[in-house]
Amino acid sequence: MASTLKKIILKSCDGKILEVEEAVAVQSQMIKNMIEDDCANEEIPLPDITGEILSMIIEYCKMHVDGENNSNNELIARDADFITRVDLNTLYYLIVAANFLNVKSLLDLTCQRVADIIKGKSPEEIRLTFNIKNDFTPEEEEEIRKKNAWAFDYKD
Amino acid sequence: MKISTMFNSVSAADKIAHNQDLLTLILLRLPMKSLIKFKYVSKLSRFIISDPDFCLSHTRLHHRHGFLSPTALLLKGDRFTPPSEFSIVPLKHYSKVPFFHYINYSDIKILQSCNGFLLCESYRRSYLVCNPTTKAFRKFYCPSNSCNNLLSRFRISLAFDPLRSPDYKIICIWESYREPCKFNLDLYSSKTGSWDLSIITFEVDEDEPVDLNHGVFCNGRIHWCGYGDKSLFFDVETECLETMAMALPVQMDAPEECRYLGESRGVLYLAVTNRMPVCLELDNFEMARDYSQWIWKKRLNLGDAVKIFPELELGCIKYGPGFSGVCMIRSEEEDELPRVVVWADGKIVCFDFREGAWKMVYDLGPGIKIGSLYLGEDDHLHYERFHAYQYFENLSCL
Repeated sequence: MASTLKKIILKSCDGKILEVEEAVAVQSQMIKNMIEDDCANEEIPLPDITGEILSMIIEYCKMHVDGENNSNNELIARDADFITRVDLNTLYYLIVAANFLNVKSLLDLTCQRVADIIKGKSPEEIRLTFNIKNDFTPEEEEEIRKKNAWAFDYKD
Repeated sequence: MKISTMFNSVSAADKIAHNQDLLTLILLRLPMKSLIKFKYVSKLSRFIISDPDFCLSHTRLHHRHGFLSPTALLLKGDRFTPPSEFSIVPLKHYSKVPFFHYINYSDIKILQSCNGFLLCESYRRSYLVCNPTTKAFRKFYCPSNSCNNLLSRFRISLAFDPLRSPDYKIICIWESYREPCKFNLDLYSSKTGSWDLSIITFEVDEDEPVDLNHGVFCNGRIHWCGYGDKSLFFDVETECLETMAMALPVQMDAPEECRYLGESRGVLYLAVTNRMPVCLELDNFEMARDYSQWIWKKRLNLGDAVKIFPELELGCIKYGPGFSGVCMIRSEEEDELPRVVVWADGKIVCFDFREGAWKMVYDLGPGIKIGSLYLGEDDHLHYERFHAYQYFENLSCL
C-alpha cells in the first residue's frame, strides 16, 4: 500500500508545485518512465507547462484513476463533461502538454475536440485559429481549390 | 523565473501548426470534407494529407465497429451510359463529389463498388479502378485479352478492404466462346503490380448458372449470385474458389423473376422477386455467418409502401419487378436490423426493420429519373435494372 500513496512532486513553468499520488502521475507515460528509471525522487520541473494547465491535466488523470471501475460509457460521459468546459486556446495548451507528458488518452480526447470545433470552418478561419500564415501563392491556392471544388459547395 | 505563456494563445497554436506529429493527430480526426479544405490551409497540412500512410490511417480511424460507412448510394443503369448519367441518394450529408468528371470516356458502366473504390468498364474492354474522392484512377486491360479478345468474354471483380490492407486485387474471369462454361481466373495484385494468369480453371454447370458479371466483395471474398442450388465465391487471401449454398428456405408459388445479391457491413444478403402479374413482393434473406445456409428474414410487399406514398408508381409492367432495384443497408450501430432500400420512379423508399415501417429515403425530384416513365407507356425504365453502388468518402490511394 505504501507505494501507491507515494507522492510525485511536479513543478510548473510558473513555479507552482503540485504533489500528485503516484497512481495518478503514472497516467503520464513520461513520468512513469522517470519513476521506473528512479529519476522521480525529487521535484520534476516541467518547463513548458503552466500551473493552470498542469492542474487540469492532473484533474483529468485523477478522474481516470478514480473511474477505473466505472463502465466505458460513464468514462466517455466524464471525458465529454471535462473537455466541453475547455476553450480552444486552452485546448491547444492541453495538446502540447499532453503530448509532452505522453498522456495518450488525453491527447486523443483533446485532438478529437479540436477536430470537432474546427471541422465546419473555412480554410481562412482555420488559419486564423492556428495563427498560420498562408504560404501558398494565389495561383497555387486557386489550383487546389479548383481540384477540390466539391468540398466547398455545401455546408455539412 | 520564466514568463507565463498561459494565454499567449499564439505559441501553443503555433507549436501545433508547425509540428507535423501534432497536426497529424488533429487532421486524422477530421471528416473528409474538412480534410479537403485543410489541403490548402498550409503547405505542411497539404504535405501531411498527401502522404499515403496518413490516408490509410485516416480511413482506418473512421470505421464504425469494423466497417466503413457509406455516405451515399450511387444509382446507375446496368449498361454503358455517359459518365454523367447517374443519380445520388445521400445517406448522410450531401457531397457533390465529381464522380466521373475527370474520366475521359464517352460511356462507362459501373461494375462494382468496393470500400471506397469504384470498378468501371468502358468500351473496348478497358477498365478503371477509381477513387471519386481523390479523383485518382487507374486504367487496365485484362492480360489474357491480347490476341483473342473477340473470342472471349471477361468478367471483372475488385477486392479492396483498406481496414485490412492498403492493396487491392482485381479478379478477371474469362471464358472462350469456343469453350463456353469453361472459365479461367487471372488475378492482379496492386502490391506486386503484376498479374498471375489462369491460377484457377473451372467449369460451371449450365443447369446451375452463376452470374459472374456482378461480384460482391464481403468478408475478404468475392461472391457471385447463383441461380441453382449452389454458387461460387473466391477467397482473395487463400486464392481458393469455393462453393456456396444457394438453395432458399422459402419460396413463393411462382417462378423466380430476379435475384439481388449484395452486402452491407459484412453481411451477405439476397432479395428475390417472383414472376407474377403485378410483382411487388420481395423475399429477403441473409447468409448465415458460417455460410451454411440462407436465412429468410421477411417478405415485403411494396404495395404497403404505395399505401403510404401514393405518388409511387410501382408495378407498371406486367410480370416484371415492380421497381428498378433493391439493396440493403445495415445501420452503423451493432444491431442486427437492416433497411431494405427500393427505388422506382425517381423515388427511393426503404423498409426499416427496426421500426417495421416504410419510409421515404430520397426523392430525386422532377424530370426523367431512375425508374420513371419515359417515351411511352410500353417503354418504362422499370425494365432496366438500376444498381445501387455504395459510396464511401475516403482518401485511399491507388
